[in-house]
Amino acid sequence: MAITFVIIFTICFFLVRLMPVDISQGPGKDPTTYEKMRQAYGYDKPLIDQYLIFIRNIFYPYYKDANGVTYSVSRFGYSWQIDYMAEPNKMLFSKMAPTVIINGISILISIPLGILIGIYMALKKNKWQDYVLSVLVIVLISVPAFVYAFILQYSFSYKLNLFPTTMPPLMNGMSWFSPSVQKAMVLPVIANSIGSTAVFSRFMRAELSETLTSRFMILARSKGMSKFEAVVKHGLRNSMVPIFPMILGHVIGIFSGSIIVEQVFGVPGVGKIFLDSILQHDYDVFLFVGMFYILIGLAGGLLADISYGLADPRIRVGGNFKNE
Amino acid sequence: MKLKTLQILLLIGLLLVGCKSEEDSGSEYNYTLNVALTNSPKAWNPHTWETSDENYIPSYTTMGLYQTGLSDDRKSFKILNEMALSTPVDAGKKVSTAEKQKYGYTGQLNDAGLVYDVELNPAAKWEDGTPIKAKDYVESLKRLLSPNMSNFRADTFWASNFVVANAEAYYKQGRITSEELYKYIVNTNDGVPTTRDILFDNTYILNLGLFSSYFANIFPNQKQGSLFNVLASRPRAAKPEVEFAAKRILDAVQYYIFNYVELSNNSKYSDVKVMTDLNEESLLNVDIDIYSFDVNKVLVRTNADIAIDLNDSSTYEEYSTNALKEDLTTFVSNMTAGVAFQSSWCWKLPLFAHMQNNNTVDFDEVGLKAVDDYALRFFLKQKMTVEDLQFSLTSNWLVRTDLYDKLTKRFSSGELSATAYATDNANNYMSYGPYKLESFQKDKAFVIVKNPNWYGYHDGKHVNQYQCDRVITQIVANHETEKIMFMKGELDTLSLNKSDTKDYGRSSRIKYVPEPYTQKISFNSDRETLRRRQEQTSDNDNKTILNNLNFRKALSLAIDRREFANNATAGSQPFTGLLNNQYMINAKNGETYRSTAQGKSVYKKVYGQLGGDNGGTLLNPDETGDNHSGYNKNLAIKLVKQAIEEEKLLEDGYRDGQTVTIQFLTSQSKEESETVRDGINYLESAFNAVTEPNGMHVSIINKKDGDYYNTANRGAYDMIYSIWGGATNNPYGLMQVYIDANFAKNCEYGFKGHQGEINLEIEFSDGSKTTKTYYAWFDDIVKNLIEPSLSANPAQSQLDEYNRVHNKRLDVLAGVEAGVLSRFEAIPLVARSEASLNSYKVEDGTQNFVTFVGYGGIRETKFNFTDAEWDEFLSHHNYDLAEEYKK
Repeated sequence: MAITFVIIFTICFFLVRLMPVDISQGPGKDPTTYEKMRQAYGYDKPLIDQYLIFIRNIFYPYYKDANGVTYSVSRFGYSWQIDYMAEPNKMLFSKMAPTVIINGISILISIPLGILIGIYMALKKNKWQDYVLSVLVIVLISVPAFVYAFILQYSFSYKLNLFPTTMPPLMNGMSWFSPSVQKAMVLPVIANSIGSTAVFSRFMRAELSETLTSRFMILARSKGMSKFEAVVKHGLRNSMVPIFPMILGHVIGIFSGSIIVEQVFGVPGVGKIFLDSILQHDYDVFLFVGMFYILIGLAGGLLADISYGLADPRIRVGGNFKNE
Repeated sequence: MKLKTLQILLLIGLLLVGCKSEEDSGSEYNYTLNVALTNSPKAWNPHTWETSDENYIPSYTTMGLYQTGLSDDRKSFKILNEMALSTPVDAGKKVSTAEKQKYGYTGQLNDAGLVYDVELNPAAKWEDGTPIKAKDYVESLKRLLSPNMSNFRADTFWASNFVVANAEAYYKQGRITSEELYKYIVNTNDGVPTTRDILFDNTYILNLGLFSSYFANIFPNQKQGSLFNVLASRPRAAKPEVEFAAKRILDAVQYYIFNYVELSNNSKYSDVKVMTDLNEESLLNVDIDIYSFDVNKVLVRTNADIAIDLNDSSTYEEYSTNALKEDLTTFVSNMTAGVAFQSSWCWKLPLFAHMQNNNTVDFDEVGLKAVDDYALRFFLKQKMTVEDLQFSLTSNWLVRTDLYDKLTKRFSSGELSATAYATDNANNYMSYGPYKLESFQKDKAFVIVKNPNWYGYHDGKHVNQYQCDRVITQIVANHETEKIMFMKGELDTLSLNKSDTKDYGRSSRIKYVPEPYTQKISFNSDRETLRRRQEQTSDNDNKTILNNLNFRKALSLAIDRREFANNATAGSQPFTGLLNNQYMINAKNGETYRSTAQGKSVYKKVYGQLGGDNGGTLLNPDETGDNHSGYNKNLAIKLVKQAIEEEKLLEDGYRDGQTVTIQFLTSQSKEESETVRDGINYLESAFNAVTEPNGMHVSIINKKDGDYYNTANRGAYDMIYSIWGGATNNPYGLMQVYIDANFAKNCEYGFKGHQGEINLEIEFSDGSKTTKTYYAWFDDIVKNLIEPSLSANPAQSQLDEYNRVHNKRLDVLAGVEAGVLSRFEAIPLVARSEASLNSYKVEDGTQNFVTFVGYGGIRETKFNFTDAEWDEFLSHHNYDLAEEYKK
């Protein structure tokens, strides 16, 4: 994983640094100011030097000038466009809290709810309950989250006035866990949860339906197990093998925000930061945020692989096993 | 089951933790203004701000030495003393001999408008109560101009009419700068440059990669504006000699770099083994002294189509400085652009000169001094009137220097530093205006509250002002969300878009904020370009008719601007001129250009009197229109007929049955933007209403182009929206965008670049007439016809002279405005204004929009409700005021 990360990072670094630099040319469009800014950004040096400086700054964030004076510098560069002079790592993590809270609660709701609905649909397969829920699930999967966001905001916030329109600013000692802030999180949580709930329902229904028709299920029932026991002990466990990595994927997605949902409900999360860094050519931010999510993605992939073994002990990763 | 239990416990835990936190009571505030911004400012440092968002917080938390405010009649503005105690006083007579020498003054300075004393308000304090003294202004300026900071706003002190002595030199000190040579050529006869500093090494520099505003202005088809871009993007149909010259210049640079530049030290050249390895990128940003071509052997091609082959001596010849000059002359003079392109010295235009900026400039030499604790003295390089100086000092450069320095960081490479002052959070900033920044939550909200240490709350001069005691500004990126918040009473202003105006256009709470911009359609009128574009379409399409003046005039007369404004804008007003009602010719009394006899005369010069104008002999009396808004359908139909007849006589002209296809470039497509779609629909229908009676169909084909101004600058368009506006106290300056041949963004292709060749006759108020080129007229209104300064009690002769020059200048302004409009390449549609709703909670200070003050701003905002009363009002209306705002 580490090697993969270094390779991806290196490719991203060089590609980003090959892109044109968007520097305000300063007073009077003075070309020397432009050149000085290029130097300050470190863009005047050969690419390999820029790369080495970047790596060095990560581990040794100090710079010694021509007079031998040492200055501390940012490990990951600075934001020039989105948040002037801010360090990209601090920028990202300072916005992480509302995103993680909303996504976290969404996951806590959507995964169990989705699985429960899926189980119910599988158990009621080809009955009217299944048909109704299947249609509903397809509709909910097909409609994008921002549509829910607008409908929820218009209905529950504006027309019924049950919830705030947007998340309130943190003033006078308020925190992300203040009741008024949490109340404001209800609608974005629901908007985020609807799609995931539908997806989990659909997958759970499909997997469990297939499992329930397996021979071992008939065997379990013939051994005298009740239907509940057979479903829980044998059916569910086998059905969870492909679902488990999905859950992990969602859990990892806790760190990435939804641009539209965050915009509609005024959540100051990380949703826009990646897009803004690209649109505004804020390359240090782009590089850091990109690398952060790549790292998370790689870790997620690794965990997903391992999780197969947890869901089904017959699956092993690596090792010198032979076919028995 | 265990997992499920854990999840429930976690959720409960989160909620319980939340219940412990405090909540916002807000009870200490009575009058809260709730506002939304689309974007969060990245910084609000007065030394670096670039966008209006970045100046938003300072508009509450700072105060200028002078400020514009509503006059007593609430219909005009006046200049107020704020951080200054009194108006500036000419201090020319107090200047010592040493100071004269230091600031380069000669002659009599008394009342010369070069040195001013400004007495400071001793009651002014920072938000922490520390008094603000003269040295704070001086020290703040030192940081603003610091050569190591590269602050974006440094040029405030030299790039306008407010030129503080030695400010630019201090900022640029110690650097060898490559300056654009053409800027220092003041004698256009011999092209000899004069400089304010010495030419460092008396050389002229050829640099293919360096940005030059000359390239950007004259050859704006590349944003980079370097000679390389210009050479590389020469027109395909360039004359053979231009092709040859361009290739020889590139050859010479390539040969020189390969043979005389130390390549091994630079990784950029690490792969260069033979000369042809020098690619485009590696030819850039190398300074070459043009005289080195006489000293060093440099080879260039002898045939435009055959590259140098060192084995074949017939393919190359030795280059020289004179040969370079000839090639540059060939290239520049054939670009047919710019004022001096045909001069004998035009080869200097793309070159640079090394300037050694005096590296001993001390800040003590910069023309701002603290006379005592509460008095500043400005030493100016350029004369200013008291009023102009006051206007310049309405924005303030003051920063809290100890905090500024503490937050200054060194970059990881190079010698530059930057400060995090006024970024990220309220602790990184110090206010000194009527309000202070209480909290700043990036991308969410910031809260501004009354600053109890502001002098204005105690000096008796601001009674009944600044009633608002808290401003909560939220970042709301989504317009629909903003609208819901407004209708629920959570916001006090709402900008309306076009669809909103359908519902709220008649609201009693609507207000229009006029902008200095005129929205026009601009046509490509260059026949050659149109013909080439036409050749790329089907035989049934015609574009060359856009070159026909009668046709363009007909299209203009076909537009009912009131209909256009209603159909395709959110509150803009129909308009037929280039300079709308916002432009003033006398800042003292607020007289607008459009209210003058000259301003009023333009319409008649361009459109005649449409109410009774028969277009010469084209219309019968009963066919004339009856309005004065540039709309006359009957006359337009006749003009189309006339244009068709004229075009049929031309080889590449319009033929019966052809469709006139107008490619209309817009930044958003009509699928993306309702405004674009409605505008296109209206224009297409209006055009066809006057062409179809003549058997001609016009089709407007929309093409999205995010960079359409630059595309238009290359002539690769048929029609665009062009929207220009400028400083409202300088209507003369705005004419640059139309009649300055050097102006990069001029987009009336066909007229663009020819302003120095096309003549215009202007009739003056006294009946005399003069003919000059458009560009020469521009020179007159910005340089030659400048009204003399008036003393406090001017003599009659002084006044007479002032009025003579002033009227003549206005005559020329009106003449060139009418001249540009009569070409019908730029056809005005509307004067832009923005429509917004005020909540029932707040009232503006005036019902009349006043230039420089708007509707009075936060200073004059009054509240109809306290916060508690407003909550009650909202509750009574069930938190939904949508229907109320329609009334």
